[in-house]
Amino acid sequence: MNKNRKNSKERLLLGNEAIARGLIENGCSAAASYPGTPASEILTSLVRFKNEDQENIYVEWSINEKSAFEIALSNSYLGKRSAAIMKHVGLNVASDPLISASYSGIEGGFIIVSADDPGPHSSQSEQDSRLLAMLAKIPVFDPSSPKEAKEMIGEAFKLSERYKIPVMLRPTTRVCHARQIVSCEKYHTIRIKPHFIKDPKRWVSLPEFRKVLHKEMNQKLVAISKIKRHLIKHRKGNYSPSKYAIFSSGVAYAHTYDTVTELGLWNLVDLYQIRVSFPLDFARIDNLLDSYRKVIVIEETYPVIEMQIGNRKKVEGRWNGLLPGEGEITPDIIYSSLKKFMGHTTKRKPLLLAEKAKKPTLCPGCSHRASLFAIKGALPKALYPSDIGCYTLGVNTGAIDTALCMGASINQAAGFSHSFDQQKSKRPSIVATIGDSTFFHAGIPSLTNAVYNQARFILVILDNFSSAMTGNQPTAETGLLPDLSRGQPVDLKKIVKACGVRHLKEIDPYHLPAFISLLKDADKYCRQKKGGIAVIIARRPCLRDKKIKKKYKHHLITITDKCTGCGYCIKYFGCPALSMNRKKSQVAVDENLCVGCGVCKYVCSEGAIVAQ
Amino acid sequence: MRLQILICGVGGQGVLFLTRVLGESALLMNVPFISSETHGMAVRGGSVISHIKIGNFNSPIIRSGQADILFALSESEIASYGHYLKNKGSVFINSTKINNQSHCDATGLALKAGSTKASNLSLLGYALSRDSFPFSYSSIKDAVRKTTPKDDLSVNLRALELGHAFTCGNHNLPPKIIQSGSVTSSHL
Repeated sequence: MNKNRKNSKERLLLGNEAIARGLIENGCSAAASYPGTPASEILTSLVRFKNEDQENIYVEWSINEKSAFEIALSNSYLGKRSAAIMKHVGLNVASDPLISASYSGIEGGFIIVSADDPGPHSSQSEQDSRLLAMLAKIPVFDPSSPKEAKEMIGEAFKLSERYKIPVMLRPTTRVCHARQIVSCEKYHTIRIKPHFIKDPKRWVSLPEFRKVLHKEMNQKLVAISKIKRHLIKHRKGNYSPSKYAIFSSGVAYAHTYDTVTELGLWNLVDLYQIRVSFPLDFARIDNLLDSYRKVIVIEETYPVIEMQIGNRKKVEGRWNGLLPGEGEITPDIIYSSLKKFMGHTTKRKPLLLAEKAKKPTLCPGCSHRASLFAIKGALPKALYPSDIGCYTLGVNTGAIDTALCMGASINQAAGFSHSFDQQKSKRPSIVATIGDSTFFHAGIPSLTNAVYNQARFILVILDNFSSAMTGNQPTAETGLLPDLSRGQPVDLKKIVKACGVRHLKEIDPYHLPAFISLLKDADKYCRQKKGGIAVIIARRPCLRDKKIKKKYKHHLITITDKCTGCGYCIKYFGCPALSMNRKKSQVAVDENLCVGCGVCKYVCSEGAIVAQ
Repeated sequence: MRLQILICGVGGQGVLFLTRVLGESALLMNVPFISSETHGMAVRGGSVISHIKIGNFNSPIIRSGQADILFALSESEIASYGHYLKNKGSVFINSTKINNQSHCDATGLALKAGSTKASNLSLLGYALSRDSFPFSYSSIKDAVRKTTPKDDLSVNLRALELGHAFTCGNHNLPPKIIQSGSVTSSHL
């Protein structure tokens, strides 16, 4: 099997798999990542390819992106090719080392894969990583397809090594989650002995050294901007000279190419693909601007290329409103924008129907649903700061008031607590919720801070032993490594205690009545004179996680005639297995979806849901 | 060959699996293939769609009114994604109500094959029995073999076969032409 795979050249690969292939084929020796859509599958695929050919590459799921960045960077300091992999908002977490590392530079080729999510499809913002690349003053590659993403990895490693500079690869959701036939080469194993070159002027970030390095960095950027293949004229119009030019990058370039073909505009426009969005060769751009009447810039998500172009009179794009300033740039949008630009009027308007997508929900039997329902039931008038993870999908329970960014729940709970205490006003109960992976990611410093500053709130750690939302990647608590071999488990309870928390309980969220009384006790503790932060760890493995064996009694759920059809369970509990039978005006259980957790029996005040 | 296929359904119905089967089949037939899928948050019971473009394309996304074929693994999703279908495009809907040749009780057939999870393949099998579908049955079968984990293979192949037989046996209605943007209740 392995042999066949190795010899076959063409493979059907997801964009993220293609990126993993690119890394491994170009001799990347260490990769670290924190899972986040749309980047999650890159590291998982690396592990798969590594196993297929017994390649020696170090991979880790780091507990956050800052760790991932610094782990990979250190490997590069020792002269070996490395990659740090994350989603765009993860790059914010890693931005501190990113901006300093660009001054120090690197030894072995170092790539940051930062996957953007225009839309956004699965993120709290649609920020553009290329702006952070500009801030850090590092070059950024903007791939338009899985195939190109793979090719750019090789180019990026070479560029990184030649100029000793970190290089970013910025795919977007439609590249990460595109599938394409990609040709795969043999692995290119580079065996380099790790060697640290002592040079404090580079590696120690004292201000006196940094000004010199900043100057060097600026010189590197000028040299990199002159590389011709970073900006390619991909297709020339049929007539010369063309009146208009389109500058495009990323997957928007692919959409644009097809749309220009479809609209038959090749006699009017020349199309340029900007493969490296920063740094741009301004002299060349100015020359191009001189030879066209107008230049249209089509890119995602922020107008990063557009804003770099000085001559505002000749440029149109997202910034001046030719294209919408937010959201994904779809072929439909490009189609109508180009028509508008060309002044085309047709009888048939392009169809631009909004997609009424069905919203995602928590899975049947999800322990988060039970936890959130218990919280709402125990302390119905509380404030509920929450966090980033599957549980955010349980917003229908009414037990989630905020979700800002990774780890914010604890700081927000503390902030609310101080704010009420300051006014000596009657304070509501405050119940924060955070997942286990999110707690490891950014919760530990926050909890330490909250204890130290004497905040008072309840913190429920929704511990499902998994980074569930992104595909059940293992967490520090399980001690499982990316290849599922055993590492060193980290005890969550001991961490909470070590943060200084004195009131700590554990509960199985399926035991709803016991959970509710624990929450009420916790609230009393918070309100005591010597009270503080009460932590409850709600423990139950994620049902989707195939790595962990699940133990619970399977119940058979029936709805009795006591059901009045009020729909409370559907609206506030929201298990997908429960639905309204309109003919009978009663709730029905979908046996194909029901996992028999039996939690719903606590939900109905009429006692119409029976679990056997 | 230039063909655009849109598959819609909800999380867990195998939209992504079906995409991989078609992709592997394109690989076997040596034709260019690019698709775009929904991952992450949306797969928790939300809508999942997959754009598939076979032939000389750069963009992985289908424009409204351009899809040649639409697969609806869940009938309810037609309302949201029907506008992708072009004039005279073909639509295949998983439904228990059989009103015309667009419908196939794929879930029922998959249950017969051994698991409702294989309804995606029953619907594909059904589509393959139509003349309008450009993939060969054997290439799809090979792709299913390549893509399916060992334990599920017999069920998956059986589901595909039952779907394929569904038309030949029970349904010899003439093909019905579907207008763009007009996939409405009359097709459900």
